Amino acid sequence: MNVPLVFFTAEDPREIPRGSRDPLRFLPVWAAIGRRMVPYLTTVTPSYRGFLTRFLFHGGLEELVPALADAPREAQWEAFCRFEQLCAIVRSSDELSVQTRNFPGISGISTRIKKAKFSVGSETSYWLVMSQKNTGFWGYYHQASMGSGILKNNNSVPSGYQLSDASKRIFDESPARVLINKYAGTLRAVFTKKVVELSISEFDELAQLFAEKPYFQGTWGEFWYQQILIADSEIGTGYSREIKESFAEAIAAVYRPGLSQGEIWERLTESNIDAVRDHAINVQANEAVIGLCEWVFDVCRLRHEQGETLDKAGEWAKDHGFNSDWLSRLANLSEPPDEQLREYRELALSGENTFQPLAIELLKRHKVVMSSRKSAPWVEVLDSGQLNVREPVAEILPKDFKKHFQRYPSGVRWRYDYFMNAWTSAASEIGFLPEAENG
Amino acid sequence: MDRSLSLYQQVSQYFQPLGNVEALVLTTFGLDVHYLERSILPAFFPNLGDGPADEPHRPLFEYLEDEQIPVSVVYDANQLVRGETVISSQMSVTKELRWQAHPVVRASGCFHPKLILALVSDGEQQNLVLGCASANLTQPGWGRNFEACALETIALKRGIESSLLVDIGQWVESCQSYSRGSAALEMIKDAISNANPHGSGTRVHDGKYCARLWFGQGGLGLGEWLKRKIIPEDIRSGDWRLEILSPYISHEIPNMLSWVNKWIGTSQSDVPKILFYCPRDGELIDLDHAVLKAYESLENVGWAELVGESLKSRLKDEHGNTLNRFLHAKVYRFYTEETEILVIGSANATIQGHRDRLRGNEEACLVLRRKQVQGITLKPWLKYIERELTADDCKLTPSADEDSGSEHLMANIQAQFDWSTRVLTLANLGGTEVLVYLGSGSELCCIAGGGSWKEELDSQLVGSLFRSPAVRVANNDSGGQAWIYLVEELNLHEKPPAPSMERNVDDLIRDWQVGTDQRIAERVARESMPDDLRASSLHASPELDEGAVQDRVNDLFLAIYRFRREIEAKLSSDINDNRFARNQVQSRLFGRGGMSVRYFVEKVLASTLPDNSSEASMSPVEGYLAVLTINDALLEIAPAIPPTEFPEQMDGLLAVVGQSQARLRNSVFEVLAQENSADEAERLVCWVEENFRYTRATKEAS
Repeated sequence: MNVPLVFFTAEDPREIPRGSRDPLRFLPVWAAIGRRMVPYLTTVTPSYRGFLTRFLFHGGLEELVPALADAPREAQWEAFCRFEQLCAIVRSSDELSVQTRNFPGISGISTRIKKAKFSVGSETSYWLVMSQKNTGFWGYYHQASMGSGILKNNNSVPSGYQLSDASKRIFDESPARVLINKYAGTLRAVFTKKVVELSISEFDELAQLFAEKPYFQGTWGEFWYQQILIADSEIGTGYSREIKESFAEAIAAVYRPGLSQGEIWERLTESNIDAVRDHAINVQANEAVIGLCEWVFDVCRLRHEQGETLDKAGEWAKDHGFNSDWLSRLANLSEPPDEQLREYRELALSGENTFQPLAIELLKRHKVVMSSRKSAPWVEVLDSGQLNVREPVAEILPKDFKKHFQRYPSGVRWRYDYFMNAWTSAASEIGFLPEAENG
Repeated sequence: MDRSLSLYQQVSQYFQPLGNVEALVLTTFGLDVHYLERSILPAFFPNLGDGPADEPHRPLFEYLEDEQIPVSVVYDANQLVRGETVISSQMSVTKELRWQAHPVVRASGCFHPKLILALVSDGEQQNLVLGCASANLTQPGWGRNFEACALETIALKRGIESSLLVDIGQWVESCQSYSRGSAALEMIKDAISNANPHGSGTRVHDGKYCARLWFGQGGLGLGEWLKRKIIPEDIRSGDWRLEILSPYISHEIPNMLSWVNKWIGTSQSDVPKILFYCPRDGELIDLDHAVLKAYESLENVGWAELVGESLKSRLKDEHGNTLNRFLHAKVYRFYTEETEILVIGSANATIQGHRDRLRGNEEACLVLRRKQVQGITLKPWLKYIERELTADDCKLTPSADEDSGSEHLMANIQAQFDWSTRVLTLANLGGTEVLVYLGSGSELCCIAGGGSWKEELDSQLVGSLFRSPAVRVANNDSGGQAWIYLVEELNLHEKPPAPSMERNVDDLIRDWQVGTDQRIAERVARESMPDDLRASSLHASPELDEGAVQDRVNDLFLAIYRFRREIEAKLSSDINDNRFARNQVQSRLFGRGGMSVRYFVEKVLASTLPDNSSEASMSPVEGYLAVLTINDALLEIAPAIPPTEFPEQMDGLLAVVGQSQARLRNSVFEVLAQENSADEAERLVCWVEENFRYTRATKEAS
């Protein structure tokens, strides 16, 4: 018998109206623009070291267990599961000379090393996160690694993964291969046995490899710069490699640790490289309308003591920022490419009292979005003009437009980052950009 | 007591390390079928992962299609609900997952226990999990109310000393009187009798605690049973206190309260020794003032409120005001500074709940007696309300007591349908004549009091039960009133998968190429991809969507090859000893579920030779090759099936597949004959058969 579990219940979070992001479904609009310049990095794939883990693994398979390198992905996954645990523990261990923390599952591994030994295994009890396959480097980085040309499918049915031809050439001449061979006996066990006990002190060089910034290391650094920071897009879906290279140089010229992604974009709108400037202006035009629309939508979700009506929301908006100062700044910016966003922009800038018609359009859009998610709208306008607020908003930003305009003279309320944070994070790890002091 | 997780989360966490569920029984007063399938049952199978937002039960659906895990739900027939409303007899109930429903009609009192009983195994050790809760299998129960639950696991070892296991064994036998067809109860009963447990009295386990299950055994009400079994005289000394959480309190004082009031004595302080949680609805007390008056006669009882803000909801009303959660927990907590006795389960503080009357409710509570860790003093949960409560504090119409509607006119019907024989059996256990209806059609039969009806149904009526496994029953004496009863379904693996969960032939081909775990993992992985990755991805994910170019014939061969190898592997183990393997073979070969041979062949036929309302999605050649290959695979498998296992079913299956093959052969022949001469067509078909067959004979010949 175990000790019985006795508890009172909390409300099921699934019963609570979702605090899901993107109630107006702008995500596909901005993501399509962002992807043209940054095709494969995302909020969950912002790390060179994630790509490196996949690279080391598939290189290691070809070197040490060729049969597994040609195996279906299911067979490869079990080996990767253990290898990812090994890398995670090595990257976070205080017993080694250097640490590169900040990866999925770090919080659960601090107690894995006991008396300088630790075990890795493919059973769920060893997993770094509850679903290591989906939310670890296997699930998150496969598409990015394939798209970036670091990996390709092997010939197995169903297919597994292997290094692309370019990656294989680099691997063969890289410090990674030397290291893999140095650990040959240990890694062969990690790749093939269900549970392996390992000694942490053995892996100091692996920890150092993760900590190194490859950008200054000749072809090895060039490879990572090319595959991650200026990766080719699918044909017809993105900018050329030359433009991406200009983009990287332009960011390097303006980047300072601590700058917000909005500030970086605003500086890029003044770039003297035409293609970079055009892209930044495009991003800014898009974000100007999205930021405005989300602000209007949030105002409709405010609660007022005298009840919620569209009139009240309009008055509040006028008093708190929806005025000629803001709108004229936005009017100076370009039109966004998306037709629906252009209509919202036109509506907002068509006169003095444009809050209500814009709000009505946005509430209609929101209702359609929530209906497709099989959920009630967070707020809807009734025929009487009353607003039925189900999910009220607590705070609307910016609180002080004057300060906001000092930081962002364009007036844009930056909401989405167009993969800028993922890009600068990967670029810092590679060594292309300086790393923020707090890591 | 931890109160930070929902019941769903707690159950998921509890079951995750325990291995596979082999049988599951849930009992409840109220049952919401839709909510049960989507938002409760998946909690017991946490390793399957979450399904898509609009089909959270999809992984479980697929799992139950593949594995014959018996799941039974026993509920009070009067309390079939949807949302928070009892459903009317005019509504239809659909079931999408494979589980057995067992409605209970009681002549008086209600069927009220909220038990979880699960047989689980991690491959080496078989365990029995017992859960006693206050939560009904409804949205308020599992999603919103403030409920209490206790979960306990017992390792099933032969000759185990466990009074709790003896109690559970007795409860299972008593429950079988309501649910004779429950495969899950039968399996649990067998597991308990194999363990052959012996009672250990109230011996404290490991020096820490003892656990028992009270369900009115021996005709003892809760108070009397506690007095005799849990709180014998030798432990009654000391400064005992009692706290009671119950949403409903009857005017008549349960025996337990009268007894405890005498035993526990008067408090030395201003705070009475027995504290009752005072149910509230906003500012008002949700009790009839007569209840307050009745309890004035017990000098050691006082009214109290819960310490802290556990009842604050995260939901808001239409004005934005924070709502309060409804306290539905039923907990009796006896404690001194060192010892605690907890009674947790379904029993409200009413005379029906305590079974003080011979014909009280069916109830169940887990009773735990435990010593507190040294150095830690037990603290009260409740805070005494010092001011006097008056009639002005009480609601004029308090919430209806769920125990009070126990006297009812509902017809006492037992309805069973066997998916193997297609026979519906109805028994009228009441004294008056009833009319039974099936689907929206006219009356099915009229059964006199004490009578029964049994008949093999035609395909139209079977179709009606397939869409909604329920009968409507009207009792002439109740003024035309009618009720809806879920039918107890037998041989569930013979039932086709729910139409709302249907898959097309290409889905099936893909499913047949991979094992259950991988299939479910891929579905879960697809859903767990980050939004921006999924939404902005312009191309298919090679990880999740099979990036390779589709080649249906190749996929078909691969799918059927995998199927044959999987079945052969299972047959090579001793399926008599391996219940899982046996069930899987049975379900795959002879069932009608989503992964069965019959379902696959039906889908191929429908996709190749559709009726007039749809278009063919497979060419005759593809369809013919599919069934030809299936037939070959079955012929390969047949000799490996032990003669004692399924001999007639195999012959039946081969006949069905053979007929389908003949139909498809004709259609191929017709198509070829249109383009070539009949001789040429015949030659081509023979060539295909010679070159594509994969029987042992052809292999040897080649």
